[in-house]
Amino acid sequence: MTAAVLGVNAVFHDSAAALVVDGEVVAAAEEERFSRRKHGKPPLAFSTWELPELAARWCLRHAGLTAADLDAVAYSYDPALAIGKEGTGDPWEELRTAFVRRAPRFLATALPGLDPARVRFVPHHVAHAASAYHGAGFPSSAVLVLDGRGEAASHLAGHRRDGGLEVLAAQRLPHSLGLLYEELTDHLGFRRSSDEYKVMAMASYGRPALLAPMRELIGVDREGGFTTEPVPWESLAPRLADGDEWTPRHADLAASVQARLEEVLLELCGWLAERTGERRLVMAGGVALNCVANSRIAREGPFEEIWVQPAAGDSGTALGAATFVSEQLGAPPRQMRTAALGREWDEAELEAWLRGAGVPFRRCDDVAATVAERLAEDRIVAWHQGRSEWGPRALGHRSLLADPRRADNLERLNEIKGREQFRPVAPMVLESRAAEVFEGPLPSPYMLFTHRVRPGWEDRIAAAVHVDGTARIQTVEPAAEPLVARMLAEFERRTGVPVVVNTSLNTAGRPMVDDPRDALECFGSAPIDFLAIGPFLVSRGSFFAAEGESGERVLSVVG
Amino acid sequence: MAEDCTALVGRLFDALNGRDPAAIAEICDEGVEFFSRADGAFGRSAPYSGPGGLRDYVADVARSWEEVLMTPCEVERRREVVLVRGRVYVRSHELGIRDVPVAWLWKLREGRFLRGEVFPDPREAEARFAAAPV
Repeated sequence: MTAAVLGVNAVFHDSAAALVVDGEVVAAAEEERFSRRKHGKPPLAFSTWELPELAARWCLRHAGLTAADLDAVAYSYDPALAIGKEGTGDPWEELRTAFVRRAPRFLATALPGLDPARVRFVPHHVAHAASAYHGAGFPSSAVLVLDGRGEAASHLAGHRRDGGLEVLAAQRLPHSLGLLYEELTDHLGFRRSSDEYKVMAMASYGRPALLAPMRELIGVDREGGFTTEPVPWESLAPRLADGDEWTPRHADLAASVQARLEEVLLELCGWLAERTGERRLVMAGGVALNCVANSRIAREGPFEEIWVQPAAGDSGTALGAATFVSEQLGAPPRQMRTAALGREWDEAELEAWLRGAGVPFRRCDDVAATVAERLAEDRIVAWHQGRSEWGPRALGHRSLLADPRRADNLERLNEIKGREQFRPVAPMVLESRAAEVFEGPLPSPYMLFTHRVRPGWEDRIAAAVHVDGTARIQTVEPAAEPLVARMLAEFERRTGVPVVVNTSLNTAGRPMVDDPRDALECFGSAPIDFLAIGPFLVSRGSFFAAEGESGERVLSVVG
Repeated sequence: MAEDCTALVGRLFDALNGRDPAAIAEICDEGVEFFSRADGAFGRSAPYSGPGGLRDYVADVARSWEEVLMTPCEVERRREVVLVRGRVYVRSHELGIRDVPVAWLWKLREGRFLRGEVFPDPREAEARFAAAPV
């Protein structure tokens, strides 16, 4: 073995662990999937000591390693770069830094056998950057990282070439596009550092009527950076509390900030392209989850190819820190070919789970065909297959599936999930058919771009089209995702439509389903018609009607 | 012998990363010469010579970089010539962050480092090493 490196993100939120062995990412998972606490923990200085213990232990167990086998633990924050409260505005900044300095000892306690001297600190934005350039696997590229904050900055512009990284610009705090977007999220009554995607969705309902003041407040400098001045939010639209009805004014505010964000990103990309001479861009950081902005960069920016790391938020720094140190140790990381890096259970284990839960189920000869048939009958199916996804998107492993042809399936899914009705759901499509249905950058296997739906298809996939005529698609390539691809092909064979609605398998405010228990709990608590878990199918009717008059439960496996 | 050499290289890089002139001098020949190739950062093109030169090198590093981490990944030896492939990660407020693959060629005399040179392009070091007598 050349190198085994465990990456850890624990500083702000989305705590996560990732394991890289001999340059191969063998496991990566967010702590929330184990602890069932959304985002793992709140992004407060007080919580900095909390580590992704469960995720880290699982990564090691999955690889058959112990903590003593690790050549390094890469922690995605470097306390040597940290600044004080005067720089960040957080009165508890020193506490955060103190906890990080102690992290090696915390880690040694959480992972018995680990030598604390093996813990290396990797700058937060370098970890983000490494996750992107290693994942993309391009020989060289421009690198753009934007998020709320790292140690002292909120941005990194760099150049990856000849196996190295040169940081060309880093915007220092307090200027932060990510924090500004978080403030807006909070002002609109959503949860900051969590619900920014809701703001992005709301922006589609508004007009950028407040773009002029936003241009005054958010500027771009000539050295690859930007400025963000304090925004008088209340003067632009009244503050909303959680659950308040939003008005067109609020949508206009969201649209205006979104539009200015996109303008600034385009300018930063222009500077970066000129400075590096590159035609490829890799991106990470929470802002890179803004698929509307990503699409505008792809459409109007100077780069010919863009790759975004699927766990672009802070969880991704666990991966990037690990790949960065792996490269330092002489084991160059290999290209990322899948986001399915989490837990899975084999058929026998799944059967044991179902028997243990006392639910009737049957084994399908071909679960893909069975599910396609149910979807074509307009049933909603929970789909739990293979390894869980790394990152915030459901990519056909922990998904809730529906027929896209019926417009009211959007409302139905939002009701099942208990979430706002303005939220869109996304389509998955066979890669070979994607260009026929959607415009925009293809392939798009990680749902990080939006795509205009081509004329003639809007009504055919009505449930999957957002109010602005776009959809955040996932393209499915049979070699990479054979089961999902077969399900899509079977659905097309029955309906003539190569698209299925895919949204994350969870209900509002909860982490995505990960293990079979989570799947059964979600299935039992929401009006989902079927649960397809491995080769097994559980139907809602039998789930609740199986109890006979005698009170005996039907536990048999029906072939 | 190869293991001894790897261990010796490990000690050298630990000492360099620790910015410890005494520890560096302990495993270097009195007449050691080191070509850092960091002329731009250090404002110096001459090699660092002898124990005094090593102290100057450590001082120049400390002045220019808040952090320097040199990681030797592979070590090869041909008689008295040692090729080290690895990476350098440097960070400073003024000069920013860089993480690059590099190689070093070291020459030994009686088990101590006599001459060292940094190669920003590892292929150059490999070519020089290939030309070294077997």
